[in-house]
Amino acid sequence: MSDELNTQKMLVSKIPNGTVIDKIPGGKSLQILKILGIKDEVENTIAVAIRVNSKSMKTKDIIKLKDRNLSIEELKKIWLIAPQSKISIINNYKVNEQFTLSDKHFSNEFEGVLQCNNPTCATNMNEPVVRQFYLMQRDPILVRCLYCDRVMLENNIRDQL
Amino acid sequence: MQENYCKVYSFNNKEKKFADHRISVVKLNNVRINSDLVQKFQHLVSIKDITKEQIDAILDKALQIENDPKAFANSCEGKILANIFFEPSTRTRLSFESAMLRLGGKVLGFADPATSSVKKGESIADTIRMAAAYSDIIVMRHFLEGSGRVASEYSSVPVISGGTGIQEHPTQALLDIYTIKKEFNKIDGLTIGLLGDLRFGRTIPSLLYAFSKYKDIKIKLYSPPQLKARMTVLTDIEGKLSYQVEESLSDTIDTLDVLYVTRVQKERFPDEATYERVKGSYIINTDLIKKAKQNMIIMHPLPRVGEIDYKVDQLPQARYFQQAKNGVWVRMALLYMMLGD
Repeated sequence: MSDELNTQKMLVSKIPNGTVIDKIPGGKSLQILKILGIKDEVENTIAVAIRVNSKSMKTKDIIKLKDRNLSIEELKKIWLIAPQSKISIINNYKVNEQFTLSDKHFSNEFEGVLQCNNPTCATNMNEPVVRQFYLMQRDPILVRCLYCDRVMLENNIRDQL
Repeated sequence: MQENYCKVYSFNNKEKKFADHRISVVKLNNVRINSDLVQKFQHLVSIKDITKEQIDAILDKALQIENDPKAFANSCEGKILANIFFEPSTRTRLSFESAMLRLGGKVLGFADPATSSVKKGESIADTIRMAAAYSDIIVMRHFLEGSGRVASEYSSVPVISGGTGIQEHPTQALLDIYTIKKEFNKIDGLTIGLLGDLRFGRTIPSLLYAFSKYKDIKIKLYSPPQLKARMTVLTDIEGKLSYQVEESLSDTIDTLDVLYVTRVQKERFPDEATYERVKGSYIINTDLIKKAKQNMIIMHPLPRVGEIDYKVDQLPQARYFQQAKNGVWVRMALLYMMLGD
């Protein structure tokens, strides 16, 4: 094993319990940390590796979250910006469950997660509705509100995640 | 009698079952679909929600009603229409009211939300639930986009959109197509110019979505730069409808079968100054119409605020008042069909 790979292995050491998000496209981990609400003050150990070498992706990011499980809402948000991310749920240093987000069969038509950015969309008023969207395109992301038909651009979406 | 093929949809335990049925229908001005055999739709909040067969069935029924209104005079006896309008309206509200009365039904509702509990902050969902409790079918106009879908989700009776913000105005598109079909005996193959406020006019998306269900229509779009059609709408019709953004109406008016004019939507502008800059940037007058084909027709959803000179009203091409009148037949057909005969 090369010195470089050895160094990377040390950087992202094993966690006893928690979640590993692997195969994040290089540079997108900061966005995912924002999705997870991780800011300047954190209680649990978090390891973040940015742009490490990857055989399949050239470079990738990795996030290891000690003692933290992700909610469906969080997984959906990560799926929106990084669908190829691989999630591993760790118990007692062992991988208890592992899946790629794109295999989770999140439908391109999805509920919640976002808020329509059209100020005159009925879903932004005092209505008892669950917001619904349709993922029209990735790279760049285009999402359409299924109530008002407004299409949100990647920067509108990123601001909300 | 003429034989025709029509795809028929039937529901059984909510599963769609498709079958091709050979049916015989009477040919009425080239309208060939037997309206009784197409799938019924519960709500009409977007023209995208209905198929070409369903549109043709509505036009077919409208023509039957126009040809013999007395035959339908008691069709909706005992039924009540709730007309709830959160935005001003003349034609849509009155023509729906006229339609229900001509079908033998009754009408209730409000034209000014200030006189209802909406003024107290009541939601669309709650308002609709109440309207549904008091009526058999609801027509709602609302200034919010997406309001039609919210209403349809909370109503136990059919909901028809009378316009939702800048989003859509599906029944206007239906009566527009009815007007064109009556004139040319077809929709396919026509060249149609859309002029004016293509950005904020809610009729435009509905019309484009409806036209995209037909064949070989050529659309020419004329508008001031600030009022070009929304990218979302153009993306939706991409590959389904041929359209071209034109610079000069004067140079191309001779290619049009239909000139559809819309007003600048003052209420959609963020400020008065921008509105004033754009207003009056296009006016249809008799000199311009001299360059058009003799059988071209001029349409307008109305109200007009100066886009069409009053002298044009006398020209044989003017159709906007007949167009408005056609709204009654089309809306009668809708009420008749959605209330289940």
